[in-house]
Amino acid sequence: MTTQSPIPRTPRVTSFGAAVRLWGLMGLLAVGVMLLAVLLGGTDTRMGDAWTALIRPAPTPMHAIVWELRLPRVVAAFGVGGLLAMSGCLMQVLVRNPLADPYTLGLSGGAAVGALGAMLAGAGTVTVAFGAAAGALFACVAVFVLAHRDLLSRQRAAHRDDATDLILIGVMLAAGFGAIVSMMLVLAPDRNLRGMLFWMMGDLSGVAWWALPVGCLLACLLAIVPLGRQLNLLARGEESASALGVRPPVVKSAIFAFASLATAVAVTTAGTVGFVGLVVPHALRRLIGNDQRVLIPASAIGGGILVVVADTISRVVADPIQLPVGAVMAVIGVPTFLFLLVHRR
Amino acid sequence: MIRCLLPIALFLCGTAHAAVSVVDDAGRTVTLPHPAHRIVSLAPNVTDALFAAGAGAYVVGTSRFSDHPDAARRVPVVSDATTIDLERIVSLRPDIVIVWKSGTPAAQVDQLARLGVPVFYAETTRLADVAPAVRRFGTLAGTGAVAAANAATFDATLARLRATYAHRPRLKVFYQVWDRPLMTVGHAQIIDDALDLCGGDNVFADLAQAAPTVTREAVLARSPDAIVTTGADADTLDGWKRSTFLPAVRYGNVLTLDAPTLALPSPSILPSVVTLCEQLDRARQRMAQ
Repeated sequence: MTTQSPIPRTPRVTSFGAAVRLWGLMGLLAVGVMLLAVLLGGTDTRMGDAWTALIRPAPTPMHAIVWELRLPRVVAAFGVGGLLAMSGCLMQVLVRNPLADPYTLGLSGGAAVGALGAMLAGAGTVTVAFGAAAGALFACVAVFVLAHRDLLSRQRAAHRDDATDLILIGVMLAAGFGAIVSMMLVLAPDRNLRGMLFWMMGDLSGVAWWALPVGCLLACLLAIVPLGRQLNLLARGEESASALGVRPPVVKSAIFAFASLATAVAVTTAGTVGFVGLVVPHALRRLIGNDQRVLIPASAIGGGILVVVADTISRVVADPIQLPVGAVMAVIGVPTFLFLLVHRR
Repeated sequence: MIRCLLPIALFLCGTAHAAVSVVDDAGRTVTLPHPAHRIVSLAPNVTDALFAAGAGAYVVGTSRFSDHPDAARRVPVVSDATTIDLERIVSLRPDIVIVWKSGTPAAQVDQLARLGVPVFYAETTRLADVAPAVRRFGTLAGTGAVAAANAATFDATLARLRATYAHRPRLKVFYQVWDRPLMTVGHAQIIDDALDLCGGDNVFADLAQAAPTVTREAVLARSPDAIVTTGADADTLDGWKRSTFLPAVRYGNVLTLDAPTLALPSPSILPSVVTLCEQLDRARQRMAQ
């Protein structure tokens, strides 16, 4: 790592040591938030009991609540948030559009068609997850096949007329999947409808493989962070990047693959949790600068924290009634982000 | 509306039918110049109550999922839970359209009223509402005698069940409507009433909504003696069986009932209530052993 950021827009974090300190601080915050989330519950449970259950094994209801319900849920929430924020960050570099989020290229739509289709067929949790994964994979392959010219072209961006093809293809696919989802919702019998709507707003209750998102997040970060310098150059423009020795087709394909994998795992685990993938990278970019080497891991931790907080609120605030996590996140996130925008100006 | 009905009224003056007048569940007095012989029902429970009132032959249109009694399946469907087919309803020239007050979309019902179709609001949310609804439908259709007899039988059966089960040791019951998201019944649902009748206490009776989405940990914390569902697939309850500290799991009271009409606030609910009472009583015996 060099000591100077290649994109000096707001170079707050200028050395590797500073970056590690920032990640460490955010990591500590994340651990604190997760601990609090495990201890917090509704009116039926007390924090002291939760703490006792956490540190001492005993066959009590509280022990099961803490170890079998809250802990897996909190870990899954952190993983899902981290994957989505990281993926959003990558997508914003890939399509060079600030409005990009993990769902821009139609992945969530494909996953929704798969998952909702499985629900309509009366499938169980595991089959719904497989449906979502299959739908996401299909959308991903469709984007790649349709947009391979944009992703793989060796020509310089200025010399071809398909530079915006990727995002347009993604948006079109998303619109198509959206229409199919609307049809499914209208035609679905009442008994399935609530489950389908909850899935689409994001639902972390009853997560099947709770460790998968965190594992996938770590793997993606280890693979992506070494590409940081090339991402920085790519974010400035394909032409200057290739002049400086970056091979855009390779890097873009890699970003696309990792962002898609991350989104697919997140969506398969928790449904389409919106908002986090768009807002966390933007908010952090304003706070710590646009150096992708620092920003991507920071986004991952920040996204994880946001989803854990939102999920805990959704679980606790109207107890024993459960609110959809995506809606809660938008309710707390929109004012925060607007404040950040206006404040900076 | 009067202009539409006047020719029919004049025509029917020659016959022996008298005008009927019934107060509906919105508090409006609905007056028809003659008993209704072309009735459209916009909810499954209304359809069922109409058949029990002896007016089954007069039902010319129903809502989707009007599966009880069996004869109701043969009536053309003119609505579902979210939309009603206004054109078909108008073309059926109904004497009255009976809507479910809290279920049928209000905007579309208003449009029906504007088109001059007489609308009757029905609302049955407790077991005690079912028999009065049947009697009123009987009055509307001019089949009061059949309706009164069936309503009396229904109430008598309920009274017998209550006398048998309501005073036995109370069970804390969690009723699962759906597993993902985890949904149960609040106090506003008729299943809450049925549980009470069978000597069970709904652990979420403190919630006002009909079908609230609740957290799993709230269920564990409230420690039910029995966990009950009527879903077709029994595996939706498997998740609970790991929580061996729950009384419901310890005593083997995680039950899937064959009671498909339990959520239907109309006379066909009765066999399902009987099943519920019997199964809860067996659960009670398992706890006593």
